[in-house]
Amino acid sequence: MSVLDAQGLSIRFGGVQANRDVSMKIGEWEIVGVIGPNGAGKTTLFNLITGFYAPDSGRVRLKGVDVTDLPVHERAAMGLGRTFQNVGLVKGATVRENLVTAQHLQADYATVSGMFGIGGSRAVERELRAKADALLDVLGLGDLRDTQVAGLPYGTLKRVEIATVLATDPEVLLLDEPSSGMGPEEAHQLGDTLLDLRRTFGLSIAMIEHHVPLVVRVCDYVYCLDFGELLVEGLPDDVRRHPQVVAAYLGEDPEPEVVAMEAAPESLVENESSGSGS
Amino acid sequence: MTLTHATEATATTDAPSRRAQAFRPGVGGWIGRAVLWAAVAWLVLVFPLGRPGFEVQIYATAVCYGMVALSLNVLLGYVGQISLGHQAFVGIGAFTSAYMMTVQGQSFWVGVVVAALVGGGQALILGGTSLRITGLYFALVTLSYGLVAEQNVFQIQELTGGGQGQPAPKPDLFDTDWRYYYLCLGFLALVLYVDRRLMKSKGGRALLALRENPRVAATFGVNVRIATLFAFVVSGAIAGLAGALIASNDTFVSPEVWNFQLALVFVIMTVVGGLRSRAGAVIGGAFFALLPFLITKIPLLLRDVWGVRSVFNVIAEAWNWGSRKLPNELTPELAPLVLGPLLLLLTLTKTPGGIGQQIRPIQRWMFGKKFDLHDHGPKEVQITDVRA
Repeated sequence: MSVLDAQGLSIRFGGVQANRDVSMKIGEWEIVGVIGPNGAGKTTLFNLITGFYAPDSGRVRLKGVDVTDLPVHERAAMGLGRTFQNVGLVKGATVRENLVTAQHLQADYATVSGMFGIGGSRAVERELRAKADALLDVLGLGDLRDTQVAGLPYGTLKRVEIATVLATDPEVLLLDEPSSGMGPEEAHQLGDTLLDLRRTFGLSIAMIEHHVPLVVRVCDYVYCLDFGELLVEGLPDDVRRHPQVVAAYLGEDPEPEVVAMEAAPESLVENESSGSGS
Repeated sequence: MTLTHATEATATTDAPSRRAQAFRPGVGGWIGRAVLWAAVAWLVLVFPLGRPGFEVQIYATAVCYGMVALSLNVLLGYVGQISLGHQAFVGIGAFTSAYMMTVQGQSFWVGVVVAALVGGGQALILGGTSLRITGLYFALVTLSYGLVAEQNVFQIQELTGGGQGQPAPKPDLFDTDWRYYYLCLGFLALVLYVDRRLMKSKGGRALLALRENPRVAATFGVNVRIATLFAFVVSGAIAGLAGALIASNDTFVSPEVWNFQLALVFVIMTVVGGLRSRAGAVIGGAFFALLPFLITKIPLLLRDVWGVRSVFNVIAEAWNWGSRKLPNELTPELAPLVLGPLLLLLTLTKTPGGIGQQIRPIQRWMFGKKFDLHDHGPKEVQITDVRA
């Protein structure tokens, strides 16, 4: 059974059909990649699944429960976590404070008893801090725990964001461009981290990603969107080589002779050389 | 590359070496801190003992204004919503307490508790209906609520003596101006404690998160609307409590004082005091409450006691001249409304964190940290916060 099942999602913003009849599934312990050119509607799809937008049509099922009409925080309580393209962190707070904030639902005391420091709230707070520190150590970010988020470099922020979303204790994780701001080496390490995390925390992950080697290495299944529609889905290697995907990224018509060429740079070079020869 | 560096750093830097860098003040440092603490304690606790009763009453008002600033800080500082009708919350708190005591014959303590509950209740109803909208439009809703209270609630015969005002006696144990001042300090300490605990627990963290980014807060499982409403209720309850204390401090509540000008002064003193800074909010509130008193007192002191004739004296004399020539135009009571916007302008352009940001290095030093003039703490206020 798939832990997340989005069926036929459509949404229109004014004259823009941002998503049209998009379906996506994440199986248990699966890492699913979502690729596509800029403006293909990938983040919109994530926003529909998270609940920021209500779809014009289509349903979202989380662990078999229809959550289409539930607000964001209730989906979060069911174990849906997500990161953001432009980093979803509280920038005015330190790294550790962010992780403690993210454990909002695990802070098992009434807000009012927290205000008076009674009802065991202080003990719970200590546990939350300890868990935050443990998570940071697991991700190799222990040294940054008292650093203010606002000053950190982008690549590090993306890692802190993953630590933070893990603190919400998710079962399904939606990652929006986790490797952006990272170099190839860092992106490779991120792949290791994701595979590790899946094993350690039993996660099912969907990620929007532009870094093709990372997608091919960690993803079990890949969806490719273009102009708000699902173009191709399948195994990473198949999708990468799929003529329509290549065409979508190059912005050309999927004509047979272009399709035959496997990698994009080669095709460009050939076109160029033939142009100069004539 | 950053990631690789971070991982290497984790491997090489161990906990003891980090702890070794922690700063410990020497003997002289501790004495210096003790002297400053003693000076603050003297100013707050001992100094009023030697002053005449009418002056102590003004100091008690200053303490209550500190509470009002803390109340607005919850809304404006933590959640980023602005209330332009806070004078209604404070005023209704004052009248509720006076009504409970004078008409219902209840004790002061019942009056205070009911005033806080009514303050929270008002916020619950007003926020429950109007917090679908935020920002400028929410400010407009609170503004009109304040005007409605001014025109209607404060004219209710039973509650306010039909515009005549309502007597509000002091409690038996705290019946002198001095004792009542300490009672107000006690309540201020309670509010400060609750505020501190709030910000160190999940409720306060949720507020800070949703102020910066409501979407991120929602993915953390925070019900953004309920959390905002909760902050509004807390703010309203503190305002009601402050109102009840102001009522008994003046021993009489008059409806005219709770007008829109007061709401403006409340907002200005909170921002000038410093958003998200408890000490700054209290100092800002106290300063604006004392301003009419200081503006007449300080030039007199300078001239008569020390024989100084400064620019300040000239301004003060011009001010006094103005108030003689133009009655009800330029009185000391208007000082907060004249100087307030100037200070607000200065705050917004120069130090968005207000007094709180300015004193933070001293504050941290007083709590045993190293003195660092540029250390404004991890939660420095940005100018965008104040725009609301």
